[in-house]
Amino acid sequence: MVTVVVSDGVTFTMEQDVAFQCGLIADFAGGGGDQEEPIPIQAVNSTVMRKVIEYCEHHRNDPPQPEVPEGTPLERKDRRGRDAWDKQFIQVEQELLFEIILAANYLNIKPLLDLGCSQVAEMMKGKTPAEIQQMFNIVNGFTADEEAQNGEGEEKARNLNS
Amino acid sequence: MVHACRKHTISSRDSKRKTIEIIDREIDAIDTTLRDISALIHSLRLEACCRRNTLLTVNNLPTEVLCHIFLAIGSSVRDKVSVSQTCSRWREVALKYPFMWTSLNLDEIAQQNLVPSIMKRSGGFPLQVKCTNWNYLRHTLCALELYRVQDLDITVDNYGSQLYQDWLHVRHAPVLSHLRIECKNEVTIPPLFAGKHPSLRELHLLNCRMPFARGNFRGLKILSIESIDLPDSKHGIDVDIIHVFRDCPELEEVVLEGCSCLDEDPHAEALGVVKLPLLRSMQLGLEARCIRRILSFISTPPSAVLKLHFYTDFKEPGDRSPFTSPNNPMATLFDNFRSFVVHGPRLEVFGFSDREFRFPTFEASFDIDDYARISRIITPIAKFFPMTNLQRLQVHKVPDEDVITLLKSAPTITRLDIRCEEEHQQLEDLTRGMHPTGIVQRLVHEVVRGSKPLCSRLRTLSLDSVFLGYGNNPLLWASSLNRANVSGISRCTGATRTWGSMKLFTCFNKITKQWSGLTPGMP
Repeated sequence: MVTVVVSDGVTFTMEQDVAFQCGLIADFAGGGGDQEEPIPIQAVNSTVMRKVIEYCEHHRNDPPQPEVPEGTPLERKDRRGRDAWDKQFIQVEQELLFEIILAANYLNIKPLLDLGCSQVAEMMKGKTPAEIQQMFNIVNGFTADEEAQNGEGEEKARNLNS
Repeated sequence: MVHACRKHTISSRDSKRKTIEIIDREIDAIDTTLRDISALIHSLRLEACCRRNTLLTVNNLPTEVLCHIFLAIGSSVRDKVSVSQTCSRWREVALKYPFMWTSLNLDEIAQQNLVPSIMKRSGGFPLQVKCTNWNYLRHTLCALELYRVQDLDITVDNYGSQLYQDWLHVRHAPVLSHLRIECKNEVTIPPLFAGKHPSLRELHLLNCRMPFARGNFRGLKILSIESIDLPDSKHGIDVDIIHVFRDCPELEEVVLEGCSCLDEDPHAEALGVVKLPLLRSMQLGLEARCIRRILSFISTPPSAVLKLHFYTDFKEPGDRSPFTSPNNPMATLFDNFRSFVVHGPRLEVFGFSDREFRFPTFEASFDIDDYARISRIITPIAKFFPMTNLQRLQVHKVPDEDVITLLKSAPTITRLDIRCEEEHQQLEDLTRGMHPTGIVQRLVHEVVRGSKPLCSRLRTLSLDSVFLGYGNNPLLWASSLNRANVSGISRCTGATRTWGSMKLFTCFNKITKQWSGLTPGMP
C-alpha cells in the first residue's frame, strides 16, 4: 500500500498498482514495496486527488501506453480512443477540469493528461476567439496593434473555407 | 473720428485672434493630456486584464500543458487560428509551438496567401496532411511540401486525379509513413513516388487500383486495398500479390477487398511459402479461388485473426467450394479451434481458440443467395480440415445432415449448442430439414443401439429456442440421452406458451437435473 498526504492535509492510502500509475509517486517510492512514510503531494488538494484516484483505479489493468515522439497528435497516440467511462468521468466543472489537468501534469499521469486536454480541446472546437474568451472568462489583453493584426487574421480565418 | 474707430476695430480683432490662439493652445494641451490619460487608462486596463487573467486556472496552466491542449485541437486550421487569437499569452504560446501547426486539414485553406504563414509556423517539422477535396492550391501545397509530409490522407475526384497522378509518380516522399488515397470513381493510379518512399509503413488504397509492381509495397506493416466494385480481373496486374507479401515480411494487418489476383504464377509459387510472423489480422474479400491461393502461399502465426468473405456463386467450375485444397495452411488453423460456430442464415462460420467463444481467430462469410447451400461449405471443411481439438460446436439453423457431418469429423466435441430461429419460422425449417429433431433422434438412436460415434464424448446438449415436436418424444429422448451421460440445457421459455411439447422439454430439464445425482445411466 502507498499513502499520500495532499495540500489540505488529507491522507489517501491506495494499492501499489493504483498509485504507481502516477509517475511521480512511482519515482518517489522507487518502485519498491510498501511505503511507510506518507508521500507529500503539495500541489494537489483532496477534491482533485479523489478524482485522480478514481481514474487510476478504473484504469489499473490497462496495458502501458507506448512512448511516442513529441508533437504526435493525440488521435494517433492512442487508437483505443476514449471509452464511455472516460467521457463520463471528465464531464466536470471547468475549474475542476483544469485542476485535474494540472494534477495529471504534476503527478505525471499521461493518459489522464491526454484525456483532460482532449476535453478542453473538444470544448474549443468550432468556436471563434470571442466565444472561447467568453467560455473560459479570459480577457484577451491584446495591444492595439495586436488587435488590428488579429482583426486581419480573423478576416482570414472567416475566409478560410470561403 | 472715423480713422480712430477703424484703428480701434483693428486692435480689437488682433486681441480676439490672440485670445483664440490662446484658447486653441489650451485645447491642444488638454487634448494631449487627454490622450496621455487615455493611453494611461488603456495601459492600466491592460495591466488589470493581465493580472485578472493570472488569477484564472486556465491561465495558470504551464506552457507545456497549454501546448498539449493545442495539440489536441486536431487538424482544423480554423480552430488553430481561433485559439491563437484568444489572448496574448495563448497567441505567444501557439505561434512558438510548431507541432500545433503540423497536422493540417487542407480543406480549410482556400487562400494562397495563408499557406506560407501557416507553413512557417510548423517550423519545418514533418506534416500530417488531410484533404478531401483536391484542387490546384492543395496540389501545389502538397507538391512543395511533400519532402516533409509524414501522413497523407487524400480523397480525389476525376479532376483531382489528373492533377495528382503525375505528382504521385514523379515526386519522392522520404519521410512519408502513412498514406491513404481514396478515389470517388475507380481509377488506376501509377506506382507511388517512383518507389522512393523508404519510410512508408501504412498504405490504404480505396477505390483505386495500383499495379502490384515490386517495390511499390516494400516494407509495409499495414496494407489495405478496398474497392467498391466486385473483383475484376480486367484491371492491371503486373505482379502476383504473393510477391507483395514477399516484399513485406513485417506485415501486421492486411485488408484486401475486391482486388484482382492472378490465378497462378509459377514464378511466385516456385519461391515457396511466404512467412508473415508478425501478422495480427488478415481480412480478405475476394473470389474464392484468390483466397484459396493466397492462403496456400502464406504462413501466419496461430494468433493471427483471419476474416474471409468469399465471392463465389458455386456455379463456375473453379468455385465449387472455397475449401477444397487439402494442402491449405488453413488445416493448421482449423486444428487449433477449441470452439466453432456455424450460422446458417447468415452463411458464416467462426473459429475460436478457446471453448467459450471469447477469442475468435477465424471468420468466414459467403456470397451465396441460398443458405440451404451451406452443405457446400460444411462438407469440404469436414473432409479436408479435421478439427481434432474441437470441444464445442454451436450451430444456428443448420441442416441436420451438416451438423452430423461436423460431429463425425470432430469426435472430441463435448458440448453441442443448437440454436433455432424465431418461433414462426420453425415449421418452415422443419420441412426444409433444418431442424434439430433429426440430430437429437440420431443421438438417441445411437444410445439405444449402443454405438455412439457422435456422442462418445458429448456431455452437454444445449437447445435454445428449439421445438422438438409434439407428443412424448422429448421426454423419451431425455431419458435415453441421459443414459449416455448427456445433460440438457435449454432456453425455450418463450416457446412454452406456444408449443405444448416445450412443457415436456421442461420436464426433460427437471429429469436431467434429478438424474444427474444418480448413477449414470440409471433413470
